[in-house]
Amino acid sequence: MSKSPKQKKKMNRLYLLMLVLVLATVTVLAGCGSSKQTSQTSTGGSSNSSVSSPSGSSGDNSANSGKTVKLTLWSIATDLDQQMIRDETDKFNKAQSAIQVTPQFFENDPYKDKLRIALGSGNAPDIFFNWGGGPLADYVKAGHVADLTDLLNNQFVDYKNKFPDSVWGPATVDGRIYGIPTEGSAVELLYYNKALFAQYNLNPPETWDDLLHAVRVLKENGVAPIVLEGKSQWPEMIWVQYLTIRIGGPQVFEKIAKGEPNAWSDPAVIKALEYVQELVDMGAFQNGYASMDCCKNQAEAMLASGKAGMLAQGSWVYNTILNNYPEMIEEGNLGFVPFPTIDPQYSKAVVGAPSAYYSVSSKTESVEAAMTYLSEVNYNDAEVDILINQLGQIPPVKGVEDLLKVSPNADFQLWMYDLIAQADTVQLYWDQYLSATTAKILLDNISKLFIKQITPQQFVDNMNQTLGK
Amino acid sequence: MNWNDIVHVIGFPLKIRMVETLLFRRLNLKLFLLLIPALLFFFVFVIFPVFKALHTSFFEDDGINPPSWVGLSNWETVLRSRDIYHSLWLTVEVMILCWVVQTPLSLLLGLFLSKERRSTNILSVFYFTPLLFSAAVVGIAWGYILNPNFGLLAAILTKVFGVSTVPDLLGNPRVVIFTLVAVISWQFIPFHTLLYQSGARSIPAALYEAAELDGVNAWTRLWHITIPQMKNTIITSSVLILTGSLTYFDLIFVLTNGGPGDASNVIALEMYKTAFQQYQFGLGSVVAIIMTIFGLLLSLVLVKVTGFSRMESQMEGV
Amino acid sequence: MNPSIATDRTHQPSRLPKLKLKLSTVIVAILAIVWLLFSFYPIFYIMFSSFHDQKGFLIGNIWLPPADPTIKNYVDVINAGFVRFFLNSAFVSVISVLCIVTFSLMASFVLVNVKTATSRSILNLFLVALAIPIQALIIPIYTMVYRANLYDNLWGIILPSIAFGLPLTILILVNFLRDIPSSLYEAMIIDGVGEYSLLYHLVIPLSIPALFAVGIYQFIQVWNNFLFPLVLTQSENKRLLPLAVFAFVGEHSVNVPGIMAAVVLSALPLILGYIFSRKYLLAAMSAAMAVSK
Repeated sequence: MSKSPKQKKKMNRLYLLMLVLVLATVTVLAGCGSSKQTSQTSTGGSSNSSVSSPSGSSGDNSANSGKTVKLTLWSIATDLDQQMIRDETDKFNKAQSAIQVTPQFFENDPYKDKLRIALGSGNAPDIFFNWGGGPLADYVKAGHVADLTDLLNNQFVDYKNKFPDSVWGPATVDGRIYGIPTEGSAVELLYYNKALFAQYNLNPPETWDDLLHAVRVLKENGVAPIVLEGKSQWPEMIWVQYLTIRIGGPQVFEKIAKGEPNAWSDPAVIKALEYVQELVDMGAFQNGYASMDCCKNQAEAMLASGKAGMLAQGSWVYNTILNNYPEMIEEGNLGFVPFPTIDPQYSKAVVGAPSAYYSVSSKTESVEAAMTYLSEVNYNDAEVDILINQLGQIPPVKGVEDLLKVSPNADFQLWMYDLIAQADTVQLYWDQYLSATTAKILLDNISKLFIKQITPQQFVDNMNQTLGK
Repeated sequence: MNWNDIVHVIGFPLKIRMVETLLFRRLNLKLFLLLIPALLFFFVFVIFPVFKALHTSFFEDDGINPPSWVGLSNWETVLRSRDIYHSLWLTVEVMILCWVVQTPLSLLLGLFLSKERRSTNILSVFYFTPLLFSAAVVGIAWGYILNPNFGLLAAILTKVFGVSTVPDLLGNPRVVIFTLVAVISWQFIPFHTLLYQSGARSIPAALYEAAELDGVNAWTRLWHITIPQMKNTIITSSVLILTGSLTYFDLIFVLTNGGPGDASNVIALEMYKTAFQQYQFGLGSVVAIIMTIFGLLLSLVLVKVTGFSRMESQMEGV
Repeated sequence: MNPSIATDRTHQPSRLPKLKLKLSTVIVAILAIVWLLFSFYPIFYIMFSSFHDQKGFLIGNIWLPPADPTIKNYVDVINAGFVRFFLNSAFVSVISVLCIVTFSLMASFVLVNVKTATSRSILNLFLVALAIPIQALIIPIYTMVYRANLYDNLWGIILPSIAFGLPLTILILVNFLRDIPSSLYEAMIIDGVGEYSLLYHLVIPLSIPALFAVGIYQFIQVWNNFLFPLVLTQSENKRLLPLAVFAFVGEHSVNVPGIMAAVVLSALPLILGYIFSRKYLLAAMSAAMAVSK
């Protein structure tokens, strides 16, 4: 049906109107964009819009100017940890009125995304928790993080001296410091159920051969040899990272980290992956390992109840077991050893982190105010006490060894302290070391390897493509 | 019997479409004003973002640095890797399986519930509840039920049926898609049941009675009367299932996060992961555009094939 | 044909003697119960898990209600700010749905009654957009929302939610309005009534069932929306219910019964609303579906 001239005219008019509408919206939106820059406040969440003096430079002592500096802090702490931060921050806020800090807590998994979006959009919190390493370096290079080196070397040098030098590593980029340590040191190790091992006459899994033997015996007797939280991906990475170190030494990853071409093709990596697949073939991991999530007490439950013999995880798991299955510790049933050795020359390396970090946003109103807060609250005596005695952690402060000796969890904590102290290398978790993008690709590939969706060679090829980016 | 007899006899307010009359011959200003709010929102938040996504797909954008132009390189990267085709294939699988599972079950349930009885009324309340929970929550709950070590299903299988090794329904790459379809169906069958229930109520009894007089059995009744009469409902429900499963994200994200490996990495997840977990918004936008094109094609096909935009009265020709 | 026996069969209570139990009835009854177990048991499981204490959760008989139930989880959820999250969700959902329904009705009214090629194109545009996935557009929408200074603001969620609720609503309303006979319009036009009055006095009263039906559907959609709040808000006091359940997920551990309690509380308003409005909802949907044929 052909259109009459009248209808044609109507159509044209409508199309014109629509075109105008589209152009109008585009212009409006473009306009909104530019006005954003001028109205930006530096105090993060819109719940804290305050009238603050634009101090800008860090030399200015805005804390004494009579106007309150309001800061937001982001953390992922939970339970006791969270309560500790809230309590100490409250005390800080009440003791003076120049600086007021509001902590906000987030859940672990979405936190990294949230933080990234916030930093990228200019809505960053003033102080934010992070794990240092690659992601922090990304943020630093994009100009979102405040350089704390000068303040630490001058005004806050006493605070700086609380910590051993080794703690600053993961927060240092191009020789400048971008984070203050927080939380406790952590290492990754192998836990095992002592009762089970005794029952089947097994040696503690200190060498790889010990481990393989234990796997066979436990499997024959209907016990899951190793419990693995495959769905979360990074617990699987523990195996790959440690095997690579034990076979070829920490230097293998250092080449990868530098982005040397084909660094992933190192024979140690391939061998490590083959060992992993051997474990999978032996049925070493529990039924359903690919769908078990970390951090939901499930792996710990299996270990504690004797349904599984071993668990490779971080030192924080000691805490989980302490809180949820204390009988296991009280009965002396919780065994812990460093990851099994393969090549003796590489047996002292440890995967872990001296601490996590609080960094300060480069857009914050006052870096100095943030540092004041941190130096008075973070790792103050009250916090150190709670961290050691109630949370079973090791805060990386000088002289901590003495405090550990009188802690209720001294056995584990001193063991861990010695492990770190005597380590010849402390390597950061790979997914914290690499950039966020590469880390995700690594985790995806590891996950596929563990269900034998790809071969070790394919893994290596995929990862080599990420080098130099 | 003639047309008026039926109307009179049944006493059911049938609405018969008469010859379409042009009510308002032109779009005058007053009418256009009514149209503006919907059009405005639509253009700003749906049409415009499509073009913006297209725009971003030509840039490299990691969220913390200013974006930089890379031309077609993102498109090359995505189209050359096997991931996108794998995701599209998984999405198609999910769509087809969802339809195959949900439609017959919803239809039967809808018919069952359409008979107004005390028992069916009570049952409908319970049947409908899965729909009231958000997909994320459904994911969490089912994650626990299906857990092969701690879950409800495992407990029932081992303690009641004495099974020795519980199947890992969410961790087995060959089975995970079916498990997901089952959970999705669990949540959405109630909604489609409601559609079919309502559709079934408006089938005129005269047709059934005529069939009974002719001595026709239940199966033939179902196939030759019920289903044709519910054609519009079936079309509506099917369109919703197919377009809904194309974009399905929440539940799969919570239950498997695309895993194990990438065995359930449907296209919505692939886009989210590329953009928000690998922080490559440029690449993510490419996947988003591909998703949109796919959705548009699907929708065009559906509209054409089903004559959706011109649904006619079922009464014609009775 | 005798009018008295030809009543609508679907509404007539069975006149057959109830003693005869046919095989087909038994099978149907069994299937119905099986379906009941399958569809409702998981919900039952969520509910009684919420009364478990955290440690006892993984051990013991998990398919039965806990031996010593506790309401601690509910207390924790409420203390975690549940009321705030609930109010936020309510605010977002109510406003979104009001706007969706209003704008859609206005647009449908025009699209149904103006039968020019352009109006048909606009309708097709809305239909085709039904398949545009929200996730695909979340990146540009996120960019737009923060540049408009609406990031971490409930309006930043409301506005896109309105836009995404429009296509389906318009689709359903158009099909509904199509069948309002023109005779009713003509009668009023003859009386000299204008377009807006037609809308107000004729169309709205007639379409209440359909408006109610789509309103409820969209309410559930917006209430349970997960992706928008995930990406578009960050502060605790702007948090919506679907995300609040994740407040019980910590860095190294998860409080599952706590999550279950949060889940029950967040679905509770919908459940109560459903129970009380069920009959009305069903009647509304029936009317909508009948007329759209």
